[in-house]
Amino acid sequence: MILNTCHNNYYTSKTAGLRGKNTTAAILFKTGFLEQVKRAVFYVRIRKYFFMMKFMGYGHMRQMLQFGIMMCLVFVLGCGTSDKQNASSETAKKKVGILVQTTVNPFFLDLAEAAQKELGDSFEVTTFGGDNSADKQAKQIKDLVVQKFDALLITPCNANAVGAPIRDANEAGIPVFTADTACLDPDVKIENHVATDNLAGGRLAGDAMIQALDAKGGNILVLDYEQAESCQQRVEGFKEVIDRHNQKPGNENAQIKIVAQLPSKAEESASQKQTKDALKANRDLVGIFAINDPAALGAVAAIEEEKLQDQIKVIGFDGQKIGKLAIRDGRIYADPIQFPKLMGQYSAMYIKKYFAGDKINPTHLIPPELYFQADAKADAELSEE
Amino acid sequence: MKQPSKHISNWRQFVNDYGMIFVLLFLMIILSMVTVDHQQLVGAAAGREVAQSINRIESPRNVLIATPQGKLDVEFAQSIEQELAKRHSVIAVVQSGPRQVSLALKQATVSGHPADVIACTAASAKWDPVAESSAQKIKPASYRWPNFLMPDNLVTIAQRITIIAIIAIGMTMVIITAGIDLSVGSLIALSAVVTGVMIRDCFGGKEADLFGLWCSGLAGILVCALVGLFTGLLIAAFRLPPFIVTLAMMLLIRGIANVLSDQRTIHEIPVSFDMLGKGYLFGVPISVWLMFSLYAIAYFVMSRTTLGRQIYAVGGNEEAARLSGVRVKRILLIVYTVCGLLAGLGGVIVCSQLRSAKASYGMMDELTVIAAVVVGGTSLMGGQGKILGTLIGAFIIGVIQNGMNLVHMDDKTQMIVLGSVIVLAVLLDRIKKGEVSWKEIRSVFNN
Repeated sequence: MILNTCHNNYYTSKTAGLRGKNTTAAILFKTGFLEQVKRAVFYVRIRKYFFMMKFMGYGHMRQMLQFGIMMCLVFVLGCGTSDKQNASSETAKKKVGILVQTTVNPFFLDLAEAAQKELGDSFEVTTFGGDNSADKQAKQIKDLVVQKFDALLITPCNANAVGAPIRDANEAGIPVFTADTACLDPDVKIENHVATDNLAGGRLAGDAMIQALDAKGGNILVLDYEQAESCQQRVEGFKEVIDRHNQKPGNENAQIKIVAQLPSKAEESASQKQTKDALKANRDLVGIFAINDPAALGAVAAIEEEKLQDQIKVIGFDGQKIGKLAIRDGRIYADPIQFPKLMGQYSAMYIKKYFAGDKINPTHLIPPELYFQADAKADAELSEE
Repeated sequence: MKQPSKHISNWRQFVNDYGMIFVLLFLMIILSMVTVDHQQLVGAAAGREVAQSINRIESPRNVLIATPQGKLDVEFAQSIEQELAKRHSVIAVVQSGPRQVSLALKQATVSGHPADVIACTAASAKWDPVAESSAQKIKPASYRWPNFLMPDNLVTIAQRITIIAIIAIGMTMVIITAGIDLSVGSLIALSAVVTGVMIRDCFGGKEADLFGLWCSGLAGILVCALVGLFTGLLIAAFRLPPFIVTLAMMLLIRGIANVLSDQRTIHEIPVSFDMLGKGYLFGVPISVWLMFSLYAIAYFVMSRTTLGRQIYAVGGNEEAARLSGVRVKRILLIVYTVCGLLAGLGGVIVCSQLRSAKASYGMMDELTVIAAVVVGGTSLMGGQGKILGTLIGAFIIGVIQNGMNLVHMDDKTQMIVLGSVIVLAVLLDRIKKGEVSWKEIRSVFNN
């Protein structure tokens, strides 16, 4: 085995000139490791390699195949090692790890990208996606703690489970910032938390629903996602406004009744199925509130299949691009929109302030805003599509 | 029997059984080479070194010690204070963030004793107030060493695979009997949730004592063992295909876990429960000791006992095993129960590591476990495989996952790499065992 590696070094060193400075070989050169290995191996390489092969009973073909596979492994690993690796040897740059809930949802990508942009060149930023798995995110945090990152910006996959790995970071003296979902563990130290004011957003959604129903009232459906604290708060705010509307004198004939509240998994296909079932049970639905855009779009898909789009108004949440486009096309009535980019920018600002020794607030809530069809038509971001 | 080639055949046997260890070593070497970075001394030793370099300054100095508030940083600051020569004076020890350092520096200037020297760690040296200060900055010397080979990191790797590796013991046994168990991921969730609910509802949540924790943990494991026994019964008694039975169990158990936890995270768990998942014994996590001891037991069982031989016999040829007196059904019951039990143990460890329980834990873990077993050289056809090979397989997966995080690979690429490496590793294993011939490869295209 030792000999195999030596052989690889020999070959990768030859290709180093061709592939520029991003290759594994270039890094090996820089570290000086390769030079030593090459020198030590030079005399014994050929003789011993063939002796070894004979010893293991390898034929010529197998030897070639094995070597090829080894080279592929080196190549694959080499590709992942980008400029960042070289930069990390400069000790002056502060290493910041951004750990988002998932990179599948553009919301978190926007947040991470905005934060990275705001942090600028004096920071070395690396983004990791947690696949919505608390366990995976915990391991990622642990890996960054071991590497002694200077700061971590986390959007937790799970408000409680993230406590344990954050405690590890605290113990190693690494400052932790959170965005979007707050860490609910009381024993951890968070420097700053930036989030949308979800309760206020829920209330806005309630206002939009009352407006959409044109003061007539009727039966509505709520598509929730109980796993996320933020989504619970949205539903809470929404219900608060609906209750207040129902109790208001003069609204006796315009009661809004939540006939069902179903789990949407915060994604399209699940909420489409749930909406379809709900439509079978309640043909008289007039409104649906979904806790985020993918769930709202799932509901819209079900409604369009049943051809009920004139009867049912959908309110979403988030203001992702897909949601905004649907609002422009009149498929979703309105969204309280969040500002992921602003969230990323604020988080980055607080990280910078932290290192500069300025005072920082422990929490920063960003109020959402309602976004209607008219806003979407005027939105420059959507104009090219 | 003594032949000149005996030595060689031993070597070949080893390559056959544990060939994957070479892939593991290879990955480790590559990762060591690409993660070479500046490393600083930490803790008391670093403090002593910094104090010595300050002591080399002849004239008296005002020293400010600025560190983050990590555990090792506390030791660092203490040892500087102890070792510093009498002529120097420590004007302030700041153990928190940049803001406090900036305040302390200002205060020192105001009080007429401005700091001449700032003793800092590698991390606090980067703080703006420290970097911009005119005082002389002294930090521990750095040396070059791979991030990958830092003792902390090696422990992290062992810790991250414990759960996968422990469950993989049971999975190896199941796969050796030519079966498969897809329900282990859900069992992790079930066990975590049962343990969490027991602690919360029966033993008073955060106030639970050690006895309560033991009972809850054992309850989680026991429930999973019973589920495993039930799965084994369905497979052995009704001759249902293991794939279908365990697929159904996977859904069923995940559903039960969701119902039990009411789809919420159970976090009313006392701090003392951390011991299992995060406690250390002689510098190595307890869960890692547990993993290694389970592997030692499993190795003994599989290679030195009748039970072990019978498990291989069932997988090799069930009918032949039955005819030669092996009680096949009992063996099947045993392996599925053991697999369930170990998955339960894995769930309790996850619950302890994250100090919370949720029904979504262990999602897709069954596939990682199966990958570890297969990479470890166990054949899905049954009858072949080595327990220690599985441990190596688990380490390969752990090393790749950790290594990709170390080289800052983004997660889309991580999936591609992990997938490719698993395919290549299994292929390499085949080639090592001499089961791939050029003729066969060509015949694919000739047919």
